[in-house]
Amino acid sequence: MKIKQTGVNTSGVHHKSGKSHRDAPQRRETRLQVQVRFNLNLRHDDEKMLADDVAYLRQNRQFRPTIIKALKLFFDLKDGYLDVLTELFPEVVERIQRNAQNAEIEALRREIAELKARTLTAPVAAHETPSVTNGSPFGTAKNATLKLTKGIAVSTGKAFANSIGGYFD
Amino acid sequence: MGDTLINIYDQIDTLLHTAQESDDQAERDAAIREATQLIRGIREQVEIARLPAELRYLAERTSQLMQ
Repeated sequence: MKIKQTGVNTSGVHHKSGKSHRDAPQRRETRLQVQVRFNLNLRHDDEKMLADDVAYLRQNRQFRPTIIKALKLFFDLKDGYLDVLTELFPEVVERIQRNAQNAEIEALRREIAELKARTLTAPVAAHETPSVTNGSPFGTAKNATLKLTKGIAVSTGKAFANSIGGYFD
Repeated sequence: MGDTLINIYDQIDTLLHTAQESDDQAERDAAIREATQLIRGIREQVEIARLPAELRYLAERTSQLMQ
């Protein structure tokens, strides 16, 4: 999740060029208010629906705050941030996280099923595991030299082996 | 055979159930993390068990020495 270092910046001018408005040089605003007008083409179903929504919002005096929130959300998402989405729609973020986690859980369940098939239905070790306490399988040669390299898997595996009480011995 | 391993599988199942059902995000994250570690541990042991006896001895002995 991409998180901004600073708060949500909603000031500035939005450019159609695709370049982030946050990169644009700041001009000194002399006016205190700007009116924005746009047309909705009622021949298009999606814009007709938007027109109905606009009418509903205006009726409830929610048009301006909703447009501001919508623009904030759009540009935040466009810049790759989830701050405004999290602020406005926490349940959506929660659902996205849940879906991602469910996919992860399903992958773990598949892995467990595969491991169960390998470890519970067939013998794990094809060889007799030598007992560490009974000496080396290399005999008792006193001049034997072993060069060992620390491996993460081995150390982690051994710690795990301790926890399961030598099942694989 | 493998009662301990079966217990670990049960533990993983419980963790995955918690990860799926809990309302607490932190608890879900922790359950997934713990289940992942247990699965990784089993997988590593399975890989070690597949090694020839001498290599397995070295793996276990090395781990003992490094503890």
